[in-house]
Amino acid sequence: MEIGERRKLVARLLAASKKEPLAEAEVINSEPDASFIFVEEHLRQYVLAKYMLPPDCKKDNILALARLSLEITLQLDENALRELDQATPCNHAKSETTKKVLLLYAVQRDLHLPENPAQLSKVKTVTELAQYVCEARRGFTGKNS
Amino acid sequence: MIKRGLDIKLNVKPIFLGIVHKFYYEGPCRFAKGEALTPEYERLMQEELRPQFFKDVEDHMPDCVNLLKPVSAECHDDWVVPEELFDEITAEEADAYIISGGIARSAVLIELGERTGKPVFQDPSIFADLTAVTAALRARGLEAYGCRTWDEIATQMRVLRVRKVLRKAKILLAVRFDSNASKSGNDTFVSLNHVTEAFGTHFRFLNLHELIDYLEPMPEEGNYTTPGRTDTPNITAEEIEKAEALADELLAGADDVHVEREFVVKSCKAYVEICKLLELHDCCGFTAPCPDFCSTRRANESQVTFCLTHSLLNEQGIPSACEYDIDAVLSMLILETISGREAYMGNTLPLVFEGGSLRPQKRFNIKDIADVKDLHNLMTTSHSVAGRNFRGIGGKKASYGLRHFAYDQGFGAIMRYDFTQDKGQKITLCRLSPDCTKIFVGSGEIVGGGDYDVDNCNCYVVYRVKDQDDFYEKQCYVGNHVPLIYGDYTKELKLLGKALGLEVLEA
Amino acid sequence: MDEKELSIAEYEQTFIDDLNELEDWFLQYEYLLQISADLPRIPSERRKEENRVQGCQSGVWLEMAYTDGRIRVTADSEALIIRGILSIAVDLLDGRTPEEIVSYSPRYISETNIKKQISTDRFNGLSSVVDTVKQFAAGAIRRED
Repeated sequence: MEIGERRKLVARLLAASKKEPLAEAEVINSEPDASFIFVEEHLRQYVLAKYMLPPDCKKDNILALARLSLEITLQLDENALRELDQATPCNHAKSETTKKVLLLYAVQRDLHLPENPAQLSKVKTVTELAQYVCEARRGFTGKNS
Repeated sequence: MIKRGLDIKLNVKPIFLGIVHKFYYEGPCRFAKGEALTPEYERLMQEELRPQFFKDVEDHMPDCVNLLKPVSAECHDDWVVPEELFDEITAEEADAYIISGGIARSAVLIELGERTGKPVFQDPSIFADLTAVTAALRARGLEAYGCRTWDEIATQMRVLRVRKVLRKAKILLAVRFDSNASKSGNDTFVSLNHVTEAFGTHFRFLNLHELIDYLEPMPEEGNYTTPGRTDTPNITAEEIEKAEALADELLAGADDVHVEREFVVKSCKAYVEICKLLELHDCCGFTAPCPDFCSTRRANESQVTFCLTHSLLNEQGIPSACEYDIDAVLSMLILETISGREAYMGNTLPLVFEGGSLRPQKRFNIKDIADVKDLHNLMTTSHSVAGRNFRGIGGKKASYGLRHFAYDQGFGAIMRYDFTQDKGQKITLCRLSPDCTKIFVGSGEIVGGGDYDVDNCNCYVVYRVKDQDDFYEKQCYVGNHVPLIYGDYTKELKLLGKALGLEVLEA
Repeated sequence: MDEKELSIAEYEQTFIDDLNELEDWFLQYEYLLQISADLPRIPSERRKEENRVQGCQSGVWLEMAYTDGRIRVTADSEALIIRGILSIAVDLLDGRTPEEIVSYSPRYISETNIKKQISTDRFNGLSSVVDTVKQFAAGAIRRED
């Protein structure tokens, strides 16, 4: 690969990293009346970016996505599991559960949603998460999405 | 319907104790980063973990467990434990609790054990608390199990269910003389009161003569043994019809028949009547004496024995033993409940190897095991009656034959089973000691069988044990009839011994 | 900029700059995977004991030739991450003169995050790859003399 191409690769990787999930959240936040399809599309990219999965990943189940993310992470860094342990200090949650809860917490925070752990924890898929986000936002705007 | 031991379930209450710290902070035993330190995160985590735990419980509990309504509570770092939590947990009577707790919630588990005295299990993923809470409860004389896996929990639950079955069991005893022991079976329990103290089992007694009177429709003036009483549970015309239909069914299904229909009908009448009595007295097991009964001459006069009754009851998981061997009834109750398979009892005898071959023995013919090269460490269970469900109660019944007990007159229908078809089958044997302090747990492998074509109660099975010397020496503490089942249940039986506070004699 | 106009050390610096700019190991890993795509495979029939690099945890094979005054190098490995790191070595050394190679001291592992992310065995193994090429180059110089 030539030097120029490598520079572009670096730039691309940097852009795709931490910034991307927040960027997707901002897109959703900037459209308070967004349709379900809009929310779902951007939320999916948010989730995939959070989990460092390719943008064309088709899985919908959040635990399955978390597992896939863990497999990739562990190939890169065998110590990654220890970091996840730190996110479940008093509970004995599995790593994939922790990853899921961290994601749900991040969604709640980044999209400024009201706290509703009982409802949010029922979400199993990205599609259901998008439905939840739309319903939670209706509580803000009072309008249908 | 007869309430069998197999129909009794262990009632288990699942309890989930989540933890939510009310504030964001770090300190000893609270170490996390960022969002994981927030109450919002912990509430989400709790919502995620609770259904996972209840699903794990549901997925891993054996069929013998009845799950009660789950209870869920949120514990906090202000250490307040409301009384309502215990009220909710104890609202239903449970036999055991399975709890997902973890650090800082162990006090609740210990107090629950103290209040209820019931066994406490924990989610295997709790790790450190498994041993800590288990030790804390055991040190208080309470029951707790720190199982490492869900499989271990399931096994222990099956064991506790057997213990419950023993506690709830009532056994119907047809007595002529001594209600403890019969004339030929002195190795049964020394004291039935002691059995009740040790295992909780109760007994109901039937006078043997009255029982034999019940095998015929009641005369107008009442039975001979209870004249003027016209409320005795004699067999009815309808029940006789049922017995005849059963007899015809058995005759039609047998591979070979060497008994007259009228004798099969008589044996079936005895069976139908005893079923009625079991239901009447809420009993789940039965035994009647042999010489005590025989010497009344009434077996001869009525032309009936209880052999077929024992076979047909054991096939359903209702332990039924001959020779008034109450010990065998309880041992078979244990085996049938733990395995869901029919138990088989008989004289359990060593085939003694001496002078280069096996010492001749009654009810054994060395030609029946002509293909067995190694004649060491062999045992036989003989002089008994078989059934058709050794491979599972409620499953497909095995092939069988019908013969007669009485050599001369041909009465007393007996079921025959060919054990030679089960060579290689692993078996487990078990018997309680007469003083209720020990449980014998043996294992073996079938190598052959015999006397399929011989009348009287003469079916036998031959099996190899690990060490006949050791087996026999330990058997001498428990007695002659050592019932067996197909399969390896030694682990469960040893755990049961522990749960009952018995010394385990393993061979 | 034509990388062949740069000295090995100057060219190596471009790799060091790329990796250090990415900072995050996951991004560096992705970078190494992407640049390794250009590294040709050594087919199995050419993977022999005589061209296997000793001391490498995963299998590493090296092929070298001296043609027209230049050292030709190619390398391959069973492990993706090692292929990524090898691709830098090959890019630096392939087509260089024996004199350039003999005077080169590698820094791209020790001065980047790569050193922290790989085990000591792998570090030693990869160092021995460069040492092997340097020995081959020294041999070429001796033959010329």
